[in-house]
Amino acid sequence: MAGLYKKYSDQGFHIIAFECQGSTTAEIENLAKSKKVPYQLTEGGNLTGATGNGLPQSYLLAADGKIAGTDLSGKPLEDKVKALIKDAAVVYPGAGPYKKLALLATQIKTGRNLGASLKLITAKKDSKDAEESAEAKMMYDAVHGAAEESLTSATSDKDSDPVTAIFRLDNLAQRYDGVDIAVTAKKESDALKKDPKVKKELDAEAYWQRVVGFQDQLKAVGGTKDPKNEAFKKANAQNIPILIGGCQQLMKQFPETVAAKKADQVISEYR
Amino acid sequence: MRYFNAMATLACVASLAGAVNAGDITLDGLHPGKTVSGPDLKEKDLNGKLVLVVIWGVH
Repeated sequence: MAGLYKKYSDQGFHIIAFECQGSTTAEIENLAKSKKVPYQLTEGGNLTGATGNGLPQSYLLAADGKIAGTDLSGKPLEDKVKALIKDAAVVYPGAGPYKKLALLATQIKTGRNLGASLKLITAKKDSKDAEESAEAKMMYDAVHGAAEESLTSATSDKDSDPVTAIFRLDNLAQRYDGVDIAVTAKKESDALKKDPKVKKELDAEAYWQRVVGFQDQLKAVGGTKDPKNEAFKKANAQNIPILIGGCQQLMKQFPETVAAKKADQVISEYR
Repeated sequence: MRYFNAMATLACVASLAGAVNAGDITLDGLHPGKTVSGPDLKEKDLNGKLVLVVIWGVH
């Protein structure tokens, strides 16, 4: 994870890790130093809705604040970060510096209401104040250019990973509401959703998310949720068959989908 | 075994209907706490970023 953080942190990727075993500050500091952890380690942090069962757990939150993945690691995590990082970079209003439009630059950095901000920037490009107009042109190129890049990147994913492509296109449509980027993103997303194969993948993914939610609620034993751990299996003797049954149901209902493959993997881990 | 699987599936469908949906988790529910090491980013600094939240333990 340290490598991933170093690779993408300057592009808008951040890792925040909460210690939740009540360890002392000194213990956390020592571990950070000995392992050379470059990202943010905290105590007393929380994420509403996270179950707290089993460690470690992870949640990837996209630039629009919505969840984009749970318990991802290794290559699947990096692939997801690589796909979504362009959307995070969009929030930067360009190099600046901005004097006349400093407040607008701050607003853009929040990543919210980018459509409204772009409309305002567009209007300010024609400002009679030469300095303001020059800043607006620079900011427009940065924000609109990055949004176009995100749109191209999301659209290019539609054949290889239509579920992620729709997720990204819908995010763009929402964040750039009111401007051309949103119109194109919505059109692309709607067209994808009409494809029966993609619709099947989306329905399967929705079912998979419920399976993941259920899996998250399995009780950890001794801080572990290792499916091969006998104590863990005993503590969850009633719920593991339910989890497997849910995976079987998913595979039956949505064969040959990405979610079905993940469900198959879960079954093999828990059997 | 077949009967057991059928029962498990039915129970699963019933249980999953009430399961916590991971989609309910959002950045608005993220509270970093007290920073011990690394960059000290607060809630407002995280807006618009791609954030990986890890819940872990020293032991």
